[in-house]
Amino acid sequence: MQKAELILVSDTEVRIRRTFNAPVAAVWAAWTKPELVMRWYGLRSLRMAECTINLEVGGTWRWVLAAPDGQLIAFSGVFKDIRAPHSLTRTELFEAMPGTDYVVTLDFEAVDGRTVLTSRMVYQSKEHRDGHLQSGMEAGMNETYERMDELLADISPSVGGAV
Amino acid sequence: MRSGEAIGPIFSALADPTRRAILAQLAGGEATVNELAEPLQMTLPNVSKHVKVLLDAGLILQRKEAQRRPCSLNPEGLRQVEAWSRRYIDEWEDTFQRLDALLAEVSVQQEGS
Repeated sequence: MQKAELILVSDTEVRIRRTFNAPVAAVWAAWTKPELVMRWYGLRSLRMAECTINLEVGGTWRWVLAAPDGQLIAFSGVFKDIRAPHSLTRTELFEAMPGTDYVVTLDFEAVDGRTVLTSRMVYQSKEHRDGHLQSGMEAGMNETYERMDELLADISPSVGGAV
Repeated sequence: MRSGEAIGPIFSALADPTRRAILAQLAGGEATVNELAEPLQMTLPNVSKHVKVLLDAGLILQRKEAQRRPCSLNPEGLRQVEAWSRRYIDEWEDTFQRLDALLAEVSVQQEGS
């Protein structure tokens, strides 16, 4: 089966691409209807505890994950551009790190009845990325990813295989 | 988190484009600080500073020869980076697979209705 793919675009932009075996409308719904997001979004042992989506330009969203010990990890932001069911741009903030918002654009592209989802993440600065990095995997995963991808692309011939 | 602490200095080291250029150069084989400085068009003390950060992070090694002290990539440090990145990607993939399952369920319901 197809795996998620990482693409390094620049020092401040990373993309994740993944193909889903479903029409665009279904994938769009899975990302924009709280009752559907609740059923799949999560990270490792973290599961969705709360999901709010005010799907309009200027509207807010907030997704809260719960750790097994009850600790809550929240991400939130504002919708900047909505072109249902083709693209969605929103700011995203890991609430434990105020001021480090980044902008995420999701593109939903129909290809032979399937959907190619591309998530484009654009960060404000290297300092923010570094701050995220130091705070560990949940907080820093996106930009970490970028740096690693770049490094591995550079050195993969010598270590025998990249990401 | 354990991996966050262990990997912190490594990612700080990787954050700098000059240090990434040094690693890329070393991917082609070992090189002395002098040899590293040439394509970078930087002063030796400057390059030495970057080399020290990479050494401290465990990303490169430096051995002593008669008159030279060539640097090389440290496979162990790089393996750590690779393992960490793989974990990260696998986590995204786990999440996406739950989305796959949901989408399969949703489309079956649509066909049935």
